[in-house]
Amino acid sequence: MGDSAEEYPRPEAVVTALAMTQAAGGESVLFAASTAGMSRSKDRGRTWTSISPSTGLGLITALAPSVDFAANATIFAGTGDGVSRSTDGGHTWHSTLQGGQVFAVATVPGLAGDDEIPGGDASVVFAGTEADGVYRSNDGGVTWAAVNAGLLDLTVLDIAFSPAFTEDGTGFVATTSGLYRTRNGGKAWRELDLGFDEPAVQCLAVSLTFNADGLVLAGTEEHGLLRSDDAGASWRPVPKFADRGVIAVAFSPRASTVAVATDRGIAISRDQRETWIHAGDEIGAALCVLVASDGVADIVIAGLVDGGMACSENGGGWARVDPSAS
Amino acid sequence: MVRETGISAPSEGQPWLWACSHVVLIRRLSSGQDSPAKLAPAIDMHTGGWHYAPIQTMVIRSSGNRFRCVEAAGMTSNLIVESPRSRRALLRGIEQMTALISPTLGPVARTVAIAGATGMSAPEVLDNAAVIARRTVELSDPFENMGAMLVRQLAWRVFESVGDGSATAAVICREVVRAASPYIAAGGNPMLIKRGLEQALKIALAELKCQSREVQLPAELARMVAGTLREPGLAEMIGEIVETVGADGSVVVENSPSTTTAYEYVEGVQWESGYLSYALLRDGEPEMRLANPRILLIDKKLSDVELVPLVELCVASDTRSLLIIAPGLSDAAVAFLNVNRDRVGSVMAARAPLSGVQRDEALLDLAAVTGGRFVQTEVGDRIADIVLEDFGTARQAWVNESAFGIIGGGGDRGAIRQRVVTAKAHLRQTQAEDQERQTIRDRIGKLTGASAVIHVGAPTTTARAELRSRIEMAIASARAAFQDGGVPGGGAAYLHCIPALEDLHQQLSGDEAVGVAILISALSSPAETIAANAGVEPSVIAAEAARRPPGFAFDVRSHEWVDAMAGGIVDPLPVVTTALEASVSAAAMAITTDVLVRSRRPKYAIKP
Repeated sequence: MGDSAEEYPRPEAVVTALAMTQAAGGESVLFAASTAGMSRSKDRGRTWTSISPSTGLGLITALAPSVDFAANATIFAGTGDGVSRSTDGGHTWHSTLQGGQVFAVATVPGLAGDDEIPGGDASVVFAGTEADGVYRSNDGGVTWAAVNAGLLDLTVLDIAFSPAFTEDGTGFVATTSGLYRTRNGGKAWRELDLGFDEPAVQCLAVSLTFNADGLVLAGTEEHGLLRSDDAGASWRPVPKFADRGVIAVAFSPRASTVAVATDRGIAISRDQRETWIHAGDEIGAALCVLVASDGVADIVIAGLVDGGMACSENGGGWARVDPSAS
Repeated sequence: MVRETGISAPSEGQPWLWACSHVVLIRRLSSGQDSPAKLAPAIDMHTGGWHYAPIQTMVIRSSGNRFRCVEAAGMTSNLIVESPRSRRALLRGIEQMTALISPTLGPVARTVAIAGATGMSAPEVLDNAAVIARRTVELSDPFENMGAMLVRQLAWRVFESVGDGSATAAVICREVVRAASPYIAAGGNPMLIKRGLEQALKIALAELKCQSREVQLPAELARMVAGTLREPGLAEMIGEIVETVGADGSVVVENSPSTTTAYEYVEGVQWESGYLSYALLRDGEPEMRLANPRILLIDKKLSDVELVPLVELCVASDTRSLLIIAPGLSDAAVAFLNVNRDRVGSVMAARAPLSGVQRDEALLDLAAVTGGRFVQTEVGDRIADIVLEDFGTARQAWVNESAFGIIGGGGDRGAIRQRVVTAKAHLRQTQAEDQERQTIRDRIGKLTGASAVIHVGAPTTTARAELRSRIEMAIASARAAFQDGGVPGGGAAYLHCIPALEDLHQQLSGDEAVGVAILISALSSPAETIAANAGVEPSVIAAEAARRPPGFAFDVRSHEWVDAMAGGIVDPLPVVTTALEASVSAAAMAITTDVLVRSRRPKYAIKP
């Protein structure tokens, strides 16, 4: 080995955020934010293309495409300094909310009568911040207001909403000392009893069939994965995760597959969340996870703590993927 | 015993009206002579008529135009009425008062108009049973009045307890007394009947609890209060608010100058207690915002000398923002803070909220929220002992002329939760007045970080007052249901208790069984009254209810039997149980009363 940097193997980029949406033609498109910039995949994560090697945003901790991405190519990113927005599919970025670290970003359809920004994005955008609670934008990220009524802990680690948010106004916020729920579209929040004393809730996922099954999954730092089947009214620990910290959780679009990133690897359930296989202990801890589907197969994609990504298709072996490939 | 009172005399021949207990009213006759010694004339303000009250002794002295009137011992005499006349009188009174308020029962109810205080006032049109009962202060017959006042007190007690159910309670009470009276007149034992009623009541309450279902979702709460509010938008608002702030959360209802009703949630902790001195504001700004302030909570007015060590503490720790919450600051203290602004940075002082014991509780709450210590000099804490760790912290604080707020307090969540538990326990146990209960609710709302404020608007003052009353009733009902669940409404829950009571009836015999049968019969009366008010034949309701599955109720609006919970025909469990308990208690008292005694004394009136 020589002394120059070029002679050392280039470390793989650490993927810190993943997101999936539908492009104009109806096909799925995935985005990955890493230390090597922004990447995109059009084949459900099997191969990636770098679209913005240097976003200028620093570390991106969350990604959320607009609900109308197919029309406006808008994505929101949570960063160390706030929220930034791209209106060209992730190539270029502009800051829309500044002032502190943002750990979570989520978009939901706007209500009728919401103001529109140029480009016609009627998304309502929520941002979870490190020290200022939850911020909400009703105009696609142009203006923001704090919506913290009922939140006793203003360090927000994740946000997730009901797929039928415009009807039921239901959403969840994960904080360092508990979980909160709104049933009024985010105007105010109520703490939920998880059965533990001030658990740090690190991640959330709401079932795509939430209206029917009321299923919500919450990953905690010390108490593993918690599950509610009644829209958050009551919770129980999922046994197989009792000794693991849960970092990320994601449902597949077909809702049958759930992937959970723990501090020791990836766990997957393919049968309505009842049985789990710790399928990825060999690839180590993951920072983020996403499940894509082509209608036949579910592909689990995980951003690894040690760098790079790993893909597993329909329960098969894991393949390493470099998100920074051009 | 004789008591002297003195009061100026009226003009000659002018009737003179005076209100105080046991004072003989004297009328100066046109001849200048006083009225006969053995009778004292008085004017009845209700009827406008004169009458003479008997007295035994009376002493009168006068000096010039000043009369001295004295109360004479033994001036009163009692009137006694025994059974069966007493029972008939009580029942008539109960019937009259219940007839006043039963038309208000149900979603298709009627109103009651009460004449204005003066001949020129418009009548007051009411649909709130408790308020109607409260307005009715006396019947002309004193013994019937006792029955009426029994129902009046019943209605108001139920309303104060659970916010609704007054008419239901009155109707059940009337039916029990109505059914029991002829039986007792024919020789039945009222004490055994009462025992049967009490046993039946226990069974009925247990059955009602079994029928209870959770009412938690905003939409469920909205459907439940829709009948009270009669506006879908307001019902949705109440459903959302109660679900958000919870059963014990703070909901403040205020009048608004607008013609529409609006609401908002208040974030963090906010108290309606403003700055101690505008001199601490920055020039031209009505409000000061502090970022990451240290917060001092203390129970005494601070002087400049007392502030010195505290300011030095902050300076030494490089504090750039300080908020003092105290009962007051001396002028010298304000000047001292202004002079040291460059050293400390942003400094503001807010007045400690509330007063007395509630003030201390509020400051203890703030200590929990901010992670500081409430310095209580009244119990021995010394300013000299204050250390930096005694100051609370927050992400933000703001103070203006009328309020201060804290967002993102640095308090320990466990301590905050403990304060909430303590406050909720106090709320459940306290027999305090509404204002104090509201204060406790406010504190709970602030501790949990979410309070709601409803600004009630309407085109006229009268309409706004009426709307505000309906909103407050709806909030009380929604809270009760949110906390304890709901049962099928429209009287259906009572009807569904009947099978269990019939089983009890089979087990008992004699007059106890009669008591059970009486309650069985009375339990149909709310549903029948609701039907009658809506123009539906009431007699078929009870019979049909027995054929319907549990949980079904008759919707008097659509004239259909529906699943009560799904159709929003829901009554809060506490309202239903409280109304039943109170009505049986009142009825039992009425049926076991054999003798009525009334003191006959001069009618008193208020000096116009």
